[in-house]
Amino acid sequence: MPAFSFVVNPDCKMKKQPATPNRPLGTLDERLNQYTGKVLFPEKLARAKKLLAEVGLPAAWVEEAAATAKAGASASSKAKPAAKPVSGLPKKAA
Amino acid sequence: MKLGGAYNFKFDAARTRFEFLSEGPKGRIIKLVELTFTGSHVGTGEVYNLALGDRNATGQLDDQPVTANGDAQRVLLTVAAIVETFTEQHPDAVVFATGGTPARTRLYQMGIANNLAEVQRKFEVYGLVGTHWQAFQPGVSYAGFLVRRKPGL
Repeated sequence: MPAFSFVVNPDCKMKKQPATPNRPLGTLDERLNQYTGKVLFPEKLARAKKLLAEVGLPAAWVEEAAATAKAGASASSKAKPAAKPVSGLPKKAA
Repeated sequence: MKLGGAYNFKFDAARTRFEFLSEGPKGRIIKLVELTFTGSHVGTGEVYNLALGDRNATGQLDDQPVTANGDAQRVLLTVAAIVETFTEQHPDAVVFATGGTPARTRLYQMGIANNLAEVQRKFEVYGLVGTHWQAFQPGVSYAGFLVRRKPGL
């Protein structure tokens, strides 16, 4: 007797899965490149800039960004030893 | 995010300008979504403003449209899909959004709240209360929203 047996039911038909896209189709349209460098809704942008200047950004994100920058700076300073002071250059005549 | 009901859309090479067609009792209306750099940063991430408007038959843009085309939910879903597409191309970007009117801001808020678990799987969402940002919570009335893709997603 084989270790593995597989029985096929000839009456069983495979159901075709209907196409159910879970997200819409986004496609590149070169025509929209005409807006590059232009602001389509300047009033809305001005309002957003004003509001963000007034209230800033979430403190948690700002702190996280500062910590990341600090960690990056210390890592790079460890990787690259500080340049030695240059010596032996001729002194400028007074 | 389950975005099956959203409209298909088109985008430019930079994926900062998007266009789709709203279909309803008032016919087919061209909607434009623009994501523009505000000049603010969070670390290396640039903060973009999300603006939604209509383009009328003469090609003019209307940034305060009262379309009332009976498809607000589909439009919202499409905007969510656009944010997802935009942040795929700009993974460090932060998106700021607010409605032109308090009613529209509430609509955005309901859209986020109704899909919060799905949204929070991929995105961090903050809401503006007065002059303070707080992690988005359902039932709180917000004046604006900040959305950022979680790292590695």
